[in-house]
Amino acid sequence: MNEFQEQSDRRFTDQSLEEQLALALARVEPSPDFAAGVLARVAGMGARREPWWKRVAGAVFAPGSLRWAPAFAAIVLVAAGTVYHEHQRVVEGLRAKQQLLEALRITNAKLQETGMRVAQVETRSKE
Amino acid sequence: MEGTQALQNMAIGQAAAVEEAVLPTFAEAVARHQSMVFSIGWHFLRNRALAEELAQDVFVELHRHWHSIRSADHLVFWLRKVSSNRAIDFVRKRRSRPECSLESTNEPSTLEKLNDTLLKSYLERMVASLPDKQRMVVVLRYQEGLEPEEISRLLDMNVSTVKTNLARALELLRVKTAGKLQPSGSDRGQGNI
Repeated sequence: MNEFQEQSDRRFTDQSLEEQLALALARVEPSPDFAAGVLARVAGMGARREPWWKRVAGAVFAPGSLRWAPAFAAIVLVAAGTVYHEHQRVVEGLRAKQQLLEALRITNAKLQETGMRVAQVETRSKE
Repeated sequence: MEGTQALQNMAIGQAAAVEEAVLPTFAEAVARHQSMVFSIGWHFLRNRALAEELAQDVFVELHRHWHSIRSADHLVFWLRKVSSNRAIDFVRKRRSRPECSLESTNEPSTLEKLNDTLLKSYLERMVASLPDKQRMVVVLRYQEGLEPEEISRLLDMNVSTVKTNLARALELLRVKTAGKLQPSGSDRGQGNI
């Protein structure tokens, strides 16, 4: 077989292989009830899908989750108590600060008055 | 007369193009594209049940993303991309790759030339025994008739990688089918090729 013949055969084989591949890999149909099955699955998904608040409420109030309610309530109470205690401390601190500032103001006024009196006495004694 | 026929054909073609361009409803999309999605799975997995499961999953996924589909062309692109990638993932996760390898696939020695049905079945098995990426490239090239550029976009590969995979796959298939393919004009009429 000469070179030209070999090349010709090779080209033909390539072309024929591709043609046969296209035939072998032609599209095939799924089972007749395929589309109905897909639509049923999709419809089932839609029916199961509830609003988020219903899903959250359902999860919180599910029978199994109620056993954690006392523990949850205790945690909430402890947290609220801690927050309230901290708030009270801050309020008392502010009140003490105000009282201290008031005392300092009075003390300052008294000192000024005393200083003025001392100055007057000194002036008189010089005269 | 011929001019009128040509105009009619053109009008039919335009009507078909418009119909293609309009985004169908979800149910229409399933009916229209089920064979494409199923066939990608079938030719890749060579298991009818798995291919149907895969195709169903793809359409359920499509339903979830339906709001993001912009046009009929986008729909086809989306379905091809998700089908092919899911099929590859499917095989990787389930290790359901066909057990026969290209080397272990015996050539039908008793048949000098294969008839159409046998050759089709033989080629299907040969394709199924290709490595994953080569197999998907071959399926998209010959089932869907896509160009390497389109395949590269679907599989997120370089065009050169697609061409390399395709060339390697064809070379493997060519070696295995050497001598079984003959000119279509010679003796196809007798059932031989």
